[in-house]
Amino acid sequence: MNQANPNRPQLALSDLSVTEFLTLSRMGFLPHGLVVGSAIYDAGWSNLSGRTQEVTSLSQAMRGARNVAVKRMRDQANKLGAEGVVGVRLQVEHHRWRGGHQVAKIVAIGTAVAYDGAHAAGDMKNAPSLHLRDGRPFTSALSGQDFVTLLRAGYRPVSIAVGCCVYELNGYGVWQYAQTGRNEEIAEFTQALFDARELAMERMTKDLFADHGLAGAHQAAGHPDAPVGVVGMKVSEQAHAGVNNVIEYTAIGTAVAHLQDGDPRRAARPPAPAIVVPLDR
Amino acid sequence: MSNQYPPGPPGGPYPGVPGVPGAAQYAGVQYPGAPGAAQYHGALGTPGAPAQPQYADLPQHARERLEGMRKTHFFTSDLSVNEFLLVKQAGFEPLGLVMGSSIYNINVRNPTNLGQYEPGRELEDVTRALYHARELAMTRMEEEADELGADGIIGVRMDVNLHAWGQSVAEFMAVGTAVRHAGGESYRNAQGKPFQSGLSGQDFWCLLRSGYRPVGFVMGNCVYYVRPEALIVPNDARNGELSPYTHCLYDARELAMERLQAEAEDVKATGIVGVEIEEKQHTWGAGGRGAQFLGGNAAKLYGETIEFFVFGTAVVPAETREPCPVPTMVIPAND
Repeated sequence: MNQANPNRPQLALSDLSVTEFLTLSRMGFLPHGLVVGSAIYDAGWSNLSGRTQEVTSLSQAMRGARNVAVKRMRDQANKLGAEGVVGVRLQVEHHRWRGGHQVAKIVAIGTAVAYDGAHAAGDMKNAPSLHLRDGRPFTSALSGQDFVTLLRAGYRPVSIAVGCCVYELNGYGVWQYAQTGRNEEIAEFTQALFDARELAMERMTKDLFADHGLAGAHQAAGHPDAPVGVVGMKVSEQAHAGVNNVIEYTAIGTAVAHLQDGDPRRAARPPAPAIVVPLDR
Repeated sequence: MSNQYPPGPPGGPYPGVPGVPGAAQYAGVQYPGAPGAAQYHGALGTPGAPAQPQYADLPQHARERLEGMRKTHFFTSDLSVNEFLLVKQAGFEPLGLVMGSSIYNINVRNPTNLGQYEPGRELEDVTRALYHARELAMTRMEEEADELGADGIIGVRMDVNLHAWGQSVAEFMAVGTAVRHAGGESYRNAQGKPFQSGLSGQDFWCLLRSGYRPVGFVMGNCVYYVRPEALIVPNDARNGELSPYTHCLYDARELAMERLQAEAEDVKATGIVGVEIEEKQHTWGAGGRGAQFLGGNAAKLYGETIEFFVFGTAVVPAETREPCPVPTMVIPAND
């Protein structure tokens, strides 16, 4: 791994900032191209019940669309001979097409990177590959700087983890409560949204382990790519396709695992933080 | 904090304005929080309100998720990479993202019995409701952390979500990352519950390094009604203070701050860091209930209702103190 990477394209597109590019290239990682995967799913309304409960078919549609989009992006990175994708973003758009099709469009986009021994700084030469054990490239929603900080601390990104849940609220019920004129908790809705959020987070973990062929974290011991945790997690909520009483929760984060033993990218001593006063303001 | 209220201009339109909004006049108000907080933990709603179903127990999926994380030491967190590493450096292990929420029906009714020269008044029912909603969310978050066996919760955020499906409804949400001391030292608070801190991972590390530790996320609030007359600019259009309006906002802010301090004193804190003040009109918008029909002039007809919400992290000095590191000056090259 000391010589130039033969897979590296002559000209590679990337959406890395200058700081990201420099921190990555010091570690020996060079961009191999901007990679994109997308999926359009039919996510229709025929399944609304008028009651407060999960819309299972929509939850599954959103989950399927995200998984397909991420897989396509990953495959594209694989074709470019990349080791992984950094700075992955997932964008969701809802469209209503002529003829009444309500569709969800998901786009996964990131920069494919790979290790190039010829470009690595002296102490970073001969680093082992960060490919997953089954040969797939890793994916990470972290910025280039965060990616490098993570490696120095002895962790590596494995894959982005996504979970979602679409929940319908009985719209009539809200009106009812508003008429009472009282200040009090609406337990029915508290329970519903609390549940929806927990479901999204739970599914994120389940899908993450299923992606590595594991039934759950309890089976992970001994697996080389077993994630130890998820960092940079965000749980967002929005009205699904702009419909007020259908709420969609999405949990997204980056799963991390330990670096292989003897990887030179792990700093000899854990990076010691210092208190600094930035002079840029 | 001084309770000294700036005196209005001599001969102002409201000579009868009480000068010093002290705690004494609200002594009769049962404000949920310090010191009588305990009585509200179990009981929803205001005293005397009809009993509400209890959802203090976590939903089934929450228990499943937490159970899984506790068994396998697989964690989730919304900490950034830098925060994650600093928390580990400080000797703590992240355990999981914890949250709690409460959806609350909020009804704002303007007082009808204001005195002739009274520029406004606290809406105690609404103050209590908004506080209670937040307290419910925080208690549920604490419960999740407790379930994980955490020593504390860091990076606590208190969000208010307004949903389009409910005009008078707001969702109060508390989110944070549960942590445990890797060395097994107990950092739990005096009540034996996980501590809560609104500080980022960076601030948490700095605080511990400088010999302090967080004991609680403390808050105070006040919802205040300002009557329309107090908002009207005099006809002669001189430049001058609208002193009744100032009085109301001042009073509201001081009441909220006073309650914040009382909460911190309750947990025996030596101080509060990272205090933030938010001024909001949640579900009711500017001008109260009539606003949607009247646009910007609503406040001049119906008066204005504002919530001041203040929160911060209560801290105490740690038993063992290392010398605080000297900061290094750097010029960052990134933009």
